[in-house]
Amino acid sequence: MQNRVAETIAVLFAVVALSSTIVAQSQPQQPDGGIPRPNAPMTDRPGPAPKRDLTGAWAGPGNVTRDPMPPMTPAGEALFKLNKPERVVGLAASNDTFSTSCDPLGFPRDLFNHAIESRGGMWFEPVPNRMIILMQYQRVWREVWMDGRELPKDVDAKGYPDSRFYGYSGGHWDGDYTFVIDTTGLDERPWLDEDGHPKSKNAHIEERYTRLDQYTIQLTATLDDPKFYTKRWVFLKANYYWTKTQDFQEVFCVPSEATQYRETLILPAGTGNEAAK
Amino acid sequence: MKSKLLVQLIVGVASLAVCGPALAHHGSAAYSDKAVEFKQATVTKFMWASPHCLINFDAKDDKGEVQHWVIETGPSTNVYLLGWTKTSLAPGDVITVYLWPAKSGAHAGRLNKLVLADGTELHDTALGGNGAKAPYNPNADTNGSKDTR
Repeated sequence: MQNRVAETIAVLFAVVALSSTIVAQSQPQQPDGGIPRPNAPMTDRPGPAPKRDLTGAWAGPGNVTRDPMPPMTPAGEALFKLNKPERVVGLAASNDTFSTSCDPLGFPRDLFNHAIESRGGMWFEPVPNRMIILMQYQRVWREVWMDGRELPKDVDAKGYPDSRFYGYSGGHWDGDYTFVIDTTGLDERPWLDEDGHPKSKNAHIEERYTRLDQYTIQLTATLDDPKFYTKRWVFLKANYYWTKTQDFQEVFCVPSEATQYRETLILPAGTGNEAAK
Repeated sequence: MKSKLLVQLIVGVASLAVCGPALAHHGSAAYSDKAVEFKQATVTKFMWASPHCLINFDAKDDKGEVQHWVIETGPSTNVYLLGWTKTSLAPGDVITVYLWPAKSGAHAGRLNKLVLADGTELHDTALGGNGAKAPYNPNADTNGSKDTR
């Protein structure tokens, strides 16, 4: 008899608790770990991939994957230790100048940013001799030369051009469905990714965009940077989808807003490790 | 014996069900996981921004003294899909606000939800904060950029 009462109470408790869960989750369902989708996808079945065509507005899936990182070189490790990413130390203690000051994301960190759709999409637009990639976040663009020109063998050295936040890029089609971009000549200040990994000015980054169907692009990005990494590394894999509206909201990280955010909220709130005042 | 195990299993699952949503709705180490409520709070400023909107408001504490608070939400691009717009709040609006306060004791925090004078509820994105909790493992096959903002 006692067992039956106990069982009944437990079941009732479980029902109530699960009901609370259902109520709590009755808000609009949000995929991808709770992040709404600002660039909604198409809902109809995709047709076949058009040949040699990435034109249009694309957004990322909400998370990315990568191969295991190879060991870094001593120079890479030394630089990595200096970087304090927000996701590890909290924003109040971070020295990530993008998070704290809206400094340029640079390439390839902008790929991560735009693979996380909530922060923006990207638009491929072919123009004579080039493919232009327009990035929603901060409204910046990359130009990918298609005329076979050589990329700089060095930057920020006598006789060579200046490094760029978004580097120097050349591209070509590999078959009818994969667009390949090679980029080098990068400004070293922006991190490779949000974890604070470094990249050198002479790194070569290959992006392979394969159009799988009418509404899907698969990206594989490989880093070749012997100054900081002992092996080539596929540091990003992501699928991008065709956005329904083909129109992007304007999204900027505004330096004055970042300053206000940091000074009025982040620094007073701290990292959570300080004693309460 | 079987009944005892069954009870333990059900209670355990139920506990997870109750606690899960509360924890899932908060992800920043800087903020307490105990929400606080302010009724009759007056908005003094609303900053529609990315990666975080800011809401400044004044509210009275238990002693009737006015406190000046600032709280954050997810990016404007995200909360837009939850019904927010650039003009959702204006200085002078009287609201009820539920927030996760800073552990430091500063009058700062992360929004959980707020209720406008007409009863409209506006929620933050499901995961508050930056979710930076796990120790860094450079050799982990990191799912690098799952956004928890």
